[in-house]
Amino acid sequence: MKIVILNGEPAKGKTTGMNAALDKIEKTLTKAGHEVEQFILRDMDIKYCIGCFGCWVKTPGRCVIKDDAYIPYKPIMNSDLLIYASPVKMKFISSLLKRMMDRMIPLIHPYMSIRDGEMHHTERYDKSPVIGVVLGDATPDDMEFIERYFKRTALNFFTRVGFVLNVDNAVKEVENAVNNI
Amino acid sequence: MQLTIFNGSPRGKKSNSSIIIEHFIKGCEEAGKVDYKVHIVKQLKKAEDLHKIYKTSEVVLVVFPLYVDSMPAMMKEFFEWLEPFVGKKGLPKLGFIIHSGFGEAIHSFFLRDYLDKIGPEISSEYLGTMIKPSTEGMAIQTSGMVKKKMRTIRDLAAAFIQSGKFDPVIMEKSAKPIKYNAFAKVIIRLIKGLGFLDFYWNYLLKKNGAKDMHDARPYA
Ligand SMILES: Cc1cc2nc3c(=O)[nH]c(=O)nc-3n(C[C@H](O)[C@H](O)[C@H](O)COP(=O)(O)O)c2cc1C
Repeated sequence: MKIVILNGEPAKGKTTGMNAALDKIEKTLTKAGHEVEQFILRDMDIKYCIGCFGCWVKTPGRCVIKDDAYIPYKPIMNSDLLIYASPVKMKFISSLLKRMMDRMIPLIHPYMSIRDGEMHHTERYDKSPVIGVVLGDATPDDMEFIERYFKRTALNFFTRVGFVLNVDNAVKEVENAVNNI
Repeated sequence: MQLTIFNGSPRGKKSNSSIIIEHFIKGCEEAGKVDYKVHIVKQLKKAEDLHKIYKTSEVVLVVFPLYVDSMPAMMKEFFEWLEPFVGKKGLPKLGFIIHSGFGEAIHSFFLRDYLDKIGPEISSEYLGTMIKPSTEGMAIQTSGMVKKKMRTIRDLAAAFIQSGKFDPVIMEKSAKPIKYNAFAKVIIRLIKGLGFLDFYWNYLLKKNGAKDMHDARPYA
């Protein structure tokens, strides 16, 4: 399976255990035969989306901002599983991870249609990776609340949530979780 | 009343959030006297810039759009910057107006629930969160259409000046429809079939000479 990890931990080093855990997860999954690529978002130049919709109406499918945000696009669209990883800050994912997520609308199409009884955009690509989530510093309430978020946003990206793990158990549980998606 | 307004749109001043703020101020002025100052979140460079304004505010209103089913990343950073204030005394009253491209309020429910959690922790009184669906494209709509759409914003503001509260009845009215009903869906499918549903996007694509490439897949 092809797996992309978006590491949204803003701090270097051991602060929440996220960086070390993700490195271990990458190793474990690679050893199990998966092809894994991790993007460390804090080391990349990813600017805020400015809401210009250039990616939909000027250069369809491509963001007009020239920085590093496009680098994970191709790996993501060719992956089977996309793992979003972030410590919980003020009860939600880090602004760093959200910055990358806002920059992912070039991957969908502006046209609209009704799906599951609601208005959503249409697909740009034929398939979209299943979503996995790894959270650090998370209470059970945070885990449940943020899972609700990813389930919601999965609708807009034509996919589903495969698993949500707490970083404290993620290294132990990830292989099983990946096999079950 | 001293009102501090934050415009949390990543578009800055040229945004639908600005139009909402304009109508909120209009509603206030129709009902009474208000001293206000508008700050653009995008122009705050560091946490201290926000702290300085926040600490000395009496009432704070934050207006921002839905981005990928929650707050724009820069608004998430705004909340991270406010973390030192959690549970502190002497904080301002705080209310939010959030708005979305899609026409159903259900898209904004997660974000509203988030603000309902975080709002009370960073304020002396949490006023609530009003949802306004379907705000994209106001710049190309007639002033009559915009005025009608912004009616609940002016009403919320006027009631706020009088009572100091966000009126739950007005908030509920604004967050409609939650989902489209069966009849509306038939109409939407019809409009889609006739090719008008995506009018706005096609208008912009054509204007930019990009219509032929609308479904490009550069990262396949
Ligand atoms: C990156 C991005 C993501 C968006 N995500 C959503 C969304 O998930 N749901 C929605 O209804 N509208 C979404 N929108 C639409 C905005 O909420 C809408 O265009 C709004 O009117 C923008 O307000 P502003 O001009 O004040 O920034 C998104 C827009 C952008 C640019």
